[in-house]
Amino acid sequence: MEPLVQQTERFSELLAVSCGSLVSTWDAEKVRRALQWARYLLHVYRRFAGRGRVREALERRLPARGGPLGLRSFAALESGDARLALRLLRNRALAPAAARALPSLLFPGPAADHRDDVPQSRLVLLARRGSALRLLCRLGGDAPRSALLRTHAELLDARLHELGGADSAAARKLLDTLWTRGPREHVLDVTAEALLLREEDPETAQITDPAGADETQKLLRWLLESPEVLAAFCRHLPARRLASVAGCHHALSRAYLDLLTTWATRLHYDLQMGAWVPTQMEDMPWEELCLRLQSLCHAQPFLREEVLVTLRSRKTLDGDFEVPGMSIWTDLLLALPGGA
Amino acid sequence: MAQESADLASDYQFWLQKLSAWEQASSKETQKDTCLHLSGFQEFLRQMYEILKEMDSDAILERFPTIGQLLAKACWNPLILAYDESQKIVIWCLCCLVNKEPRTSAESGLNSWIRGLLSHVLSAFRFDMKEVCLFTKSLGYESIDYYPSLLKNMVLSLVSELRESHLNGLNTQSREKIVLPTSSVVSLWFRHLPSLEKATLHLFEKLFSSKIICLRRMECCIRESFLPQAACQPAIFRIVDEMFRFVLLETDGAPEVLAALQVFTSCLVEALKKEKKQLTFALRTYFPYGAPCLAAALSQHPEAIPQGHRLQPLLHISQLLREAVEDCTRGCPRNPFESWFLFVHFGGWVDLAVAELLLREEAEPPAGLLWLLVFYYSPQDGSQQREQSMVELKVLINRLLMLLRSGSLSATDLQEAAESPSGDPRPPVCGQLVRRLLLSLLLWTPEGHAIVWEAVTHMAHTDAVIHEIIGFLDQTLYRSQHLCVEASRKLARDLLKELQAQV
Repeated sequence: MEPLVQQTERFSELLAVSCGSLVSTWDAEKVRRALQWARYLLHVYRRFAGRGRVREALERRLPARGGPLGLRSFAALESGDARLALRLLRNRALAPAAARALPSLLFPGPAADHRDDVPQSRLVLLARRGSALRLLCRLGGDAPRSALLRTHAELLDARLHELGGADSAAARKLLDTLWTRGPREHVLDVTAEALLLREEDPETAQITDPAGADETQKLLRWLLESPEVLAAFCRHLPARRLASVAGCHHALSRAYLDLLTTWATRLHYDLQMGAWVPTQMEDMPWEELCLRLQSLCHAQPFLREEVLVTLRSRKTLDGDFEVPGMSIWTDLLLALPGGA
Repeated sequence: MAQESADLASDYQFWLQKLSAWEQASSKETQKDTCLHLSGFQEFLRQMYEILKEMDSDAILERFPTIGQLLAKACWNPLILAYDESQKIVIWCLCCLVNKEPRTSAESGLNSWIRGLLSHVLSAFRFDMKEVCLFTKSLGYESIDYYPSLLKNMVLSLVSELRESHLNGLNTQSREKIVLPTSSVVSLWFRHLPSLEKATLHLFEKLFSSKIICLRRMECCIRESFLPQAACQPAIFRIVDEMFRFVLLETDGAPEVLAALQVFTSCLVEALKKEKKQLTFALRTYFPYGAPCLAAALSQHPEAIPQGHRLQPLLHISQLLREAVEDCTRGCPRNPFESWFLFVHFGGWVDLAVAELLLREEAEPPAGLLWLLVFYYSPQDGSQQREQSMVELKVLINRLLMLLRSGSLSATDLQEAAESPSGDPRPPVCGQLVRRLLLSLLLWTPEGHAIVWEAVTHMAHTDAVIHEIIGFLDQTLYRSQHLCVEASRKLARDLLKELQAQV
């Protein structure tokens, strides 16, 4: 067992350095050996893919040594050779002798067409898929953007899954990193998509992935415990989409509603204009506030209940005015279905 | 050898020119032209590879000085890269070009340039937005991780957009709509089973939504759906056929489903005739259930057979079916449903059989025809029950023919003859079959014309029966042009109108 773990770790290190400048010392022989090594580990993967114990042991040791550029998981062994190939091909630092040996090592020709343990067929498949994607994107419409969003949501989900069951610290760190690096709007869109990932088909989700809610929980927890992110989330996403997400996750709907009520207190009544206006530029305007509350009411019956109950209790605290212009809660209720 | 060389040289020039033309314009015409030439270009690439692999870099550059240009243009053409194996062969050609022992900086530069091209081919897709790329990297993923998932999601999004625009017809939204030609829709169905199933279900909804069977309307719906053209591909036909089979079983052989299946099959046969030049699939690939000779016999055109020669093929079919259904000497008993299902695809034979039985001169109705009709209407009967039904049917037909020749046919006589064939307390042979025989007699004989209205009034005592008669009349008008004279058709039309007004 131990030799196997060591070999995997060393390959992981190799993979990590294949992006960097160390490869300037490599020669053709080293490249050949590296690819052979990758092939060997591919066979290892196939042998042990079904065997829990070996797999777990390897997964435990992996992220430590290789770092972010190494092997991320046991499953990555399946495409280790292709990954290595792509990195070496793009690495300008690779020594010239090694660089000119690389193409024929990767693409031996028709003889290797039927072999499934050399990179050739998988790299060709990659090229085919890439070109297909390029052509499909040209068709335009909503499809490329929504496909990308969904793919990123699936990747995020997969990464959260890899970070292990109970360890939410690692999950939080990843999500914080994503948030910092941005682009922020995209991170928010992907988060929303990921939170909706399992809701679209709850039946099959239950059957195939009963523990899948773990990833959703990690994501949700991070969102709720990061005030800056939560505020941006609730402002950036369109009203309807946010209402769908809130409809699926009760904790989020509560937090959202709290934020909306906080933002509502920032508005004051302008007698001259006869409307509720923001105190500062970045405050949420009246129209948008209404729209968001309306969307919540339309999304789910229980959400509507929550909204009305919240607003009504605020209205009472405020003095229970019925006249418009005195209390924002009164006016908001008037704008909602079933509120008056 | 010299000739081959000269051919190759001119091909080479041809393709170089083509590639240059394609890269300069990216209009629809250019794209169409490219697509037409894709397989030809791939063949050329293969030939080039065979030659290049025997040469070293210097020799290649000497013989084909512009090879770099050619390969680069191919690499930058997304349609070429996406096609079949072209990207692989281009990669192989590039590998041949690598200089194993570069002595000059130009030669090293060439190697560098080749690596760049290879890199490009392997990452043909780049997100438009670099920031999005950043997100993927932050997650720790590379192209090899997300290409499969992205491709799948892209196809799913496009399919649902397509489905919406296909079903909605008029697209009221102003966003960009995808319109694909028929061949592309068919290709999509070929590769994505759920969209084929949805399209078929959608067709079924349209066909079976009204109780009233109108074959002309059914034919319209079926043609509009493009499914018959698609079903020229046996794999697609098998799926649609399975769905028909399922619905037939679930509805216990509902007449509208049977009618739709028959119309579909005739549309398919027509589509196959049109595509004859390309497709040469054996009948067996379409109908793997049932004996091959049976499929062959059934797929002939009944209306093409001249009068007077119709009995022989009918008896042949009857015999083949009978062997398939009743032959216990082969070991395991075959499921009669399979044979019946194959049979009912081709409705024209039953029309012919009825005509032969009623319009014959001889006294004895051929047993083969009796068997055929009884089997069509009651496939689930055991052989003893079927024998009994055949006897009763024979008695009925003899009676009908006798009445016909007696010179004084009345509606009451007809009704009596149908109701009590032998005074036996057991129920007579299938009601539908009896009614069909009566109606055929009424429509196709001058004696029948005289009493048709009265007789039909007698028969049409329930709504269900009226619907059945309407169905039969509609079918006669739609299908049996070769069997009816104009007078009969006019009568059928009048009857149909009258009955439709009643329900």
